[in-house]
Amino acid sequence: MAELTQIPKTEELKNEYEIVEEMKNLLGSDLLEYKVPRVNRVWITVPNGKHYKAAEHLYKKMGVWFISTVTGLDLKDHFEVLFHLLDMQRKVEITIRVPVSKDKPELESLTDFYPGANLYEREVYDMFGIVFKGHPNLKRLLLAETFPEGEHPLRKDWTPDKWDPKKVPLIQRKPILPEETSDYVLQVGPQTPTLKEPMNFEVIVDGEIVVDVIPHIEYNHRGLEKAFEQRTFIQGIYMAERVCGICSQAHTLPYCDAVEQLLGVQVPPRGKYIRTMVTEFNRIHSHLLWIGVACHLIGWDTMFMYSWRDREVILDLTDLVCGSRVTAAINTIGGVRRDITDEQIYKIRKGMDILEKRTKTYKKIVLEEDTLLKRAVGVGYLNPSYLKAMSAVGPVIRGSGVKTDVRYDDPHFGAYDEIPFNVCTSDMCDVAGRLVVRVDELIESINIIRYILDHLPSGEVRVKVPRKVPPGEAVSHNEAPRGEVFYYIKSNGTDKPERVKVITPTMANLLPIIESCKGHYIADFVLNFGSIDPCIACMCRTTFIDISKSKPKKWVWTDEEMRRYGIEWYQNRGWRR
Amino acid sequence: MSRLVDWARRSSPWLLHFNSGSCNGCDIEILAALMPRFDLERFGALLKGSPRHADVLVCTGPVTRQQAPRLRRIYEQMPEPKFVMVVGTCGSTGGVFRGCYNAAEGIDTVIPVDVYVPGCPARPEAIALGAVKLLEKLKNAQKQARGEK
Repeated sequence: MAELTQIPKTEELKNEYEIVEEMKNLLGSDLLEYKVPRVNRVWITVPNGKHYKAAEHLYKKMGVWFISTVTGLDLKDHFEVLFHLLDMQRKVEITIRVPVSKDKPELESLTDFYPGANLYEREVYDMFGIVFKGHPNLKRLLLAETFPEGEHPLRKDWTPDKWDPKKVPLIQRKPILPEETSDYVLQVGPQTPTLKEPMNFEVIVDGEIVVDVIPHIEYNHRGLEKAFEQRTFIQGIYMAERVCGICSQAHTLPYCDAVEQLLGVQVPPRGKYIRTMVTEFNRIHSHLLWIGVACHLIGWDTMFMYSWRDREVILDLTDLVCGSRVTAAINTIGGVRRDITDEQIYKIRKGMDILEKRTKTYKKIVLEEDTLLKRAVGVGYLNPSYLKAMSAVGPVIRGSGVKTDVRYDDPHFGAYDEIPFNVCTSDMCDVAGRLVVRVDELIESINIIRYILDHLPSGEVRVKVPRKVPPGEAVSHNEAPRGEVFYYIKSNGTDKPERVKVITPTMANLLPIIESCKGHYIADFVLNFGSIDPCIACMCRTTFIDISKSKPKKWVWTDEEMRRYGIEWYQNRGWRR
Repeated sequence: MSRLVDWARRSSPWLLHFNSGSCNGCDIEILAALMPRFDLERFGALLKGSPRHADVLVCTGPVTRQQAPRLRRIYEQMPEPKFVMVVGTCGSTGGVFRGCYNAAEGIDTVIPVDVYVPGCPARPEAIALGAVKLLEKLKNAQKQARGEK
């Protein structure tokens, strides 16, 4: 057993070593190596086959219920699969490393204890061709349907094939239902009318009740994880920013934090505080955006316009501090690119006053306004224990009363360990609960920004760092507006990373929300799906196929008609505004 | 009569927004351009949900492999005369996604484009300017078709 400890065992690392001791007792000589590189991090390596036992123990005996993601790695002579688990009680991120041979790339799936790993394991299968034994539905996830079978783009020896965008064929999917059935298949997506990103759902309905939903999320796959490997660490910041344009700051923060861990540099306190402030700007703009879209989906466009008008306040402040409205581009490795002046602080304070006043109005509306409550209460019920099993994140799980927040569970990525704030939860477990959580978080974010302005340390905002990053690996995460954003970075000693793994919150929330749509009306599907604040989604063209008749009947709905159908459906049942 | 039709066409360009694999930055800015502060609707622009109702296709993103045939199909579904406006650097040239294995290098590798709005993401002011430029182009094309100068 190799001991790779970098910092000695102290009282501060009690929790980390407790986990290591447990693993030593359980696995004995099968624990190949372990390391505790810093607080809140434990890495263990086990041979292929023993990871199941380790995960079983962690899940059943130690109460580790959350899986962040599964990462695949191609190390030329063999593969490695990393399972990243987050222990919320002890506040430790545990990584189980499993070497997998290239001749027989197989290992046991952990979906028995962590059903939430379903999509993550499918992604690794898709990108590396590693087979997870015992996985319930091991199919392709992200690659296009015209992508050649049996090729895996994240393998190092893979060479891209040439494809002509003008000549990609449109492949008709096979019908998913047998001919003799009374159910319909309803195609939702991928063309988008408003905000939502491309995505396709095959919704199987019986009359008006949703029976099952099959998501297809390959429409927006661009190949960013491969692109990270071809660019330098500095260029990677701008790639990370464009993983998602809405929560751009939330992506660069963990990216820079992970690279700083590898470099072993500390960001100066002032830089840390400015980073955290811009992250909260990001949260406010994203939540206001979502409140507007949610109100649009239930047909309340006045509120939509109001919340988007107020959102301009925070976009102007981002513009003032960072120089751009949406993509902040303020983080850099070693700190932030710009300092803030007293005049800017004055303007930010004024902006916060306006937003606080408006947010209080929203809170009142959310709690009292019938227009909203009639559509939101009781819709999309999600059981907290189910969400915990599926490792859901962000406002979705907090809306069901589970108190998790990466800013609270692992606060070492920004200045969150020094700033007091509350983790907002709601016990309503439905769309209304998620609404309440988001409005409460707006108020918390405003308070955090005020605290930062009051306690802003003086001094430098960044440190100079070398271009080459020493070999090693680090994980970091951040609470994006939608939930946990997770970065794993492996460096090989050059100025380009060996591997960057990104995981975004919509992936974690996708399966739970689909579960909550089952048994509900089609009229609620749009709002229900909207309630996770999807970063990849779209509801535009809806094709209904009636396959109960001998000749299948088809009709097409636009998103507009789908939305109107939802509104009218409720009006016809006497729930008028 | 044809003048009346041309005038109506100029005064009410109906938009269809299509995301061919962008990061959402441009998409929220397009929406922001339609919101109270910038109010693109004062030029008669209206966001529609179906390509069959639309005059202008507002596109973002570098076109992913999965989206390329869909983009072409949506373009084919739009009635003539139709125009395409690309918003964002990645839609114009591939931008930051240039060289990614699953992304093409811009919208014009798949369908013909009339107006490019650069920016990453493009600001709502730029999008409004792009829309005005497109309307000018339309006006000139109409004049030419009628044989006027």
